Amino acid sequence: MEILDYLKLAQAFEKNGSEKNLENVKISIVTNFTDDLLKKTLTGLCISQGFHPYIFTVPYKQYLFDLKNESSDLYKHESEITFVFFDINPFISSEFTSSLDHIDEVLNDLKTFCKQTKGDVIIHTLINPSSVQHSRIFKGHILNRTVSEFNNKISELSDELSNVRILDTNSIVSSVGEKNIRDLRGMYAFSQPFNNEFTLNIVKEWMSLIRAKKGLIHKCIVLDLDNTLWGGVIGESGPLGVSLGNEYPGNAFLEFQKVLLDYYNHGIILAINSKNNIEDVNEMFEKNQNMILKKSHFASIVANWKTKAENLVQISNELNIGLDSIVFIDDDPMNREIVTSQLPEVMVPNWSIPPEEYAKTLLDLDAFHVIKLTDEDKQRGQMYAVERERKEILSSSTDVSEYLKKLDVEIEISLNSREQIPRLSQLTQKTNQFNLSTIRSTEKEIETLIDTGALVFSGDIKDKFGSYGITILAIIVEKEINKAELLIYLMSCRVMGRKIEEAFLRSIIETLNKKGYKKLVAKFIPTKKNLPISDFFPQLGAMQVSSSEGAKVYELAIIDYLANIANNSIPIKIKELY
Amino acid sequence: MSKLTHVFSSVLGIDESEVTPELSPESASSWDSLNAIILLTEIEKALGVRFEYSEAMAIKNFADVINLVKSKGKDPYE
Repeated sequence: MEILDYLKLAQAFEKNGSEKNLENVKISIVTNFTDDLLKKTLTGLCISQGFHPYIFTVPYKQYLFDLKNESSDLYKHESEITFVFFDINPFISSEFTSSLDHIDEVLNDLKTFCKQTKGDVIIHTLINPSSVQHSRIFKGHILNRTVSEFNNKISELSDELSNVRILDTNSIVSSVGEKNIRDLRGMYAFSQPFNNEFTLNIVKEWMSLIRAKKGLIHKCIVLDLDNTLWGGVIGESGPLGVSLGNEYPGNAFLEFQKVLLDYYNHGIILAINSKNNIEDVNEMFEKNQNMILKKSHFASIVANWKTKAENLVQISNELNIGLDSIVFIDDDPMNREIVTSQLPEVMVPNWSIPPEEYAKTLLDLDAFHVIKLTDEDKQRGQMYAVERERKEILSSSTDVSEYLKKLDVEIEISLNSREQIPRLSQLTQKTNQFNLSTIRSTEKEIETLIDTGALVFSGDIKDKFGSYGITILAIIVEKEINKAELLIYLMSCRVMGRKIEEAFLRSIIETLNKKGYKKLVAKFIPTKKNLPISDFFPQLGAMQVSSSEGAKVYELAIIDYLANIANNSIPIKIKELY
Repeated sequence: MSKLTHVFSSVLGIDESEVTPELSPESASSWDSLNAIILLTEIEKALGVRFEYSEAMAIKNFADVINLVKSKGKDPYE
């Protein structure tokens, strides 16, 4: 879609409102120029991606006032995501170009705002005045100092505050060329310094972050093999006959594999969907030493003669991830067409391109944004790949107990661990299936809960293959005397089917018992996705005491429960770190 | 549809049939100051022309745009 298409959508939206049931999103925009076009373009993009935007823009030149004052409209808007985009440029004087004092004030006020807001704040770096002439004339000029000072300071702010993320404007500028971003007439006549194309580029970047904020992220790259990961066909030329090495085009395939490996190391899950005999694929992994991607990097390997669409459904089920979080890469247009027509949720980039463009095309793909990458995220690719090996053990075990014994599952339980808060907040944002109440909590809200006496139990789970990280969370508040309420109980889907939720809660109930609680209350709020937890409390022996609007309240008598389970042990090791 | 009509109907959110020589800020409520700037830049881009600021500010209706494009030696019905 072109900018005109987005403007048309925005215009229709302004006139008629949205027709469909769109998901609401609250956004604020803070700039030092006229940002009506940004707002309008963003409105169009939001609509095109299924969102109903509520966008607040700080009035022209009022950013200091709005950032400073907690009663300003900016604060009142309570945005989920705020974009801060200041332009300092060599062509026109502004507060930013007159002295360094102004940016000190801006940075202070920004910090105040970032600390107060519950949402995320995306701060643009200032654009470098980097064209040859300007760097010569302005070397040592206040402009250069302002830019570097501001960019350093916001980077520190982002290290300090978990809800702040830096958006590197200069990388967007260099991708389009710095000659192609400005509109000088627009700047002098209408205080609108950027041309329409660059505005659209910026807004697309914002949209990716909004999608990430809403949990709409691509987690998995599913790959074809022949002529995608290497040149040629293994079934015909054998594992050593394909092109993958230091000469063209083999070097281009190598580079593509390197980029895939980088993504894997940043938490992207890799999987294979190939029309091949599985024996040939295994032989390729064993015999071709040039393969940068090894079998162990893949979370799922599907090689057969079914359609690629059928296989994608299988992979999505196997990995327990949505089709809408998959990017499918295949050089064959027929296969891509089948997937696009049958599974429109899957992202299928055009891959009818020469191999030398593979690496670049993947890197340019607008699919893998995250607001902030945690250590847990980075390990995700690996965790899913190890999961494939675990499944092999499961299929050789007769029951869950034997499986758990073979796996050596261990849960380390922490209580009120503040350093885990970013991860815990993220868990509440992302977990949909095994989730009692689907309450999404910000870091600040969890912090407040701890401050006000809640018990936040979190479990770090590992087995013989390695760690799953922190994947289970229970937040308990005192409802009334002797009665504890399970406000949040959730577990990541990657550890489901292992009785971990039972073992974890057992240990917590024992702790509650020691603290003198007699009853545990849990309010189950059904959603479209949390069926997996719907039977959990009845199965523990909890009684349903009331229900309203679909929600069910259960009560568990702690002493009875502990007596019931006394003879029924789960082969999971528990370590309490409190 | 001509490029000019396409730009006007997209930016102003109106039907192509409504893009007539009489179309003006008075007749189309969406022809506001923001859209006036967008129209200017998008017309320039679509037709590869450049208007002077004073020329752009003098535009009173769609017929003025057609005449202005003609005066730049471009085909307004392209």
